[in-house]
Amino acid sequence: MLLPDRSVLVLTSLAGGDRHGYALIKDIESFSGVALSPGTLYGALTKLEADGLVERLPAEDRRHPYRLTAAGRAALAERLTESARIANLGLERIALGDA
Amino acid sequence: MKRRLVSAILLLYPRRVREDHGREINALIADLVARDGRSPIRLLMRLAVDGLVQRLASTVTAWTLAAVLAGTCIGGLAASNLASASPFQREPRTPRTTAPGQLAPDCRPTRQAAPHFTMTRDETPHRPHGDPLRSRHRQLAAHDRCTH
Repeated sequence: MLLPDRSVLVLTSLAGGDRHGYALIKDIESFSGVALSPGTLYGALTKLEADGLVERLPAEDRRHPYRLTAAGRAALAERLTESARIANLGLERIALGDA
Repeated sequence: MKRRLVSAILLLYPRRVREDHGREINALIADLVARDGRSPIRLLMRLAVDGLVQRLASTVTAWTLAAVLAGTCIGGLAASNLASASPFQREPRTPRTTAPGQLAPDCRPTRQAAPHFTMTRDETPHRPHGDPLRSRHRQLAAHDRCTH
């Protein structure tokens, strides 16, 4: 499954624990510098929920926390492994070019 | 007022997002304004833009695109065929090489020397440039071709 970048950001944030919308936006901003808008965040959450990669927990004062499912964890692991392989390859080639 | 505005903007979103997350989006915008001091106008504008983008993405599927492309191709071919079969087509025009009002070089009347009639000994007329009447007739015919 090809995950868009914003979905990877949301899944990576949820890999650190259950979070609701505001906590997700703040966490993603802290580790990536990307400030997701409310519309973008909930658009991504709707898609991830439909794909079974995240689940919505019961509301706490109008705010629903979200949790990473097992399928979501596997999809995130696969995507990050692929990204890491490409990143390592790129770094090796850069190092060879510098030498 | 602001909640009503957010609800109105949420109408731009696909129904699924609006119905499942409408209240959460409202609460999140209130949090961002109250806790982070974000500009409500900017948040609402970005909410509207995101809504339009998501609505377009959810309605314009690959099948819709393929159908539009196929329709355009078939329509273009049909229009081209109709145009080529039309009885009202104009004759193909040869490109103009002279200025308006001028005759083409091959249509300009050539000034021919007046035929000389020389008498020979046996008193028969000798016409070195051919029959003057026939030559004049050719000239007139060429002139008619060029002017009509």
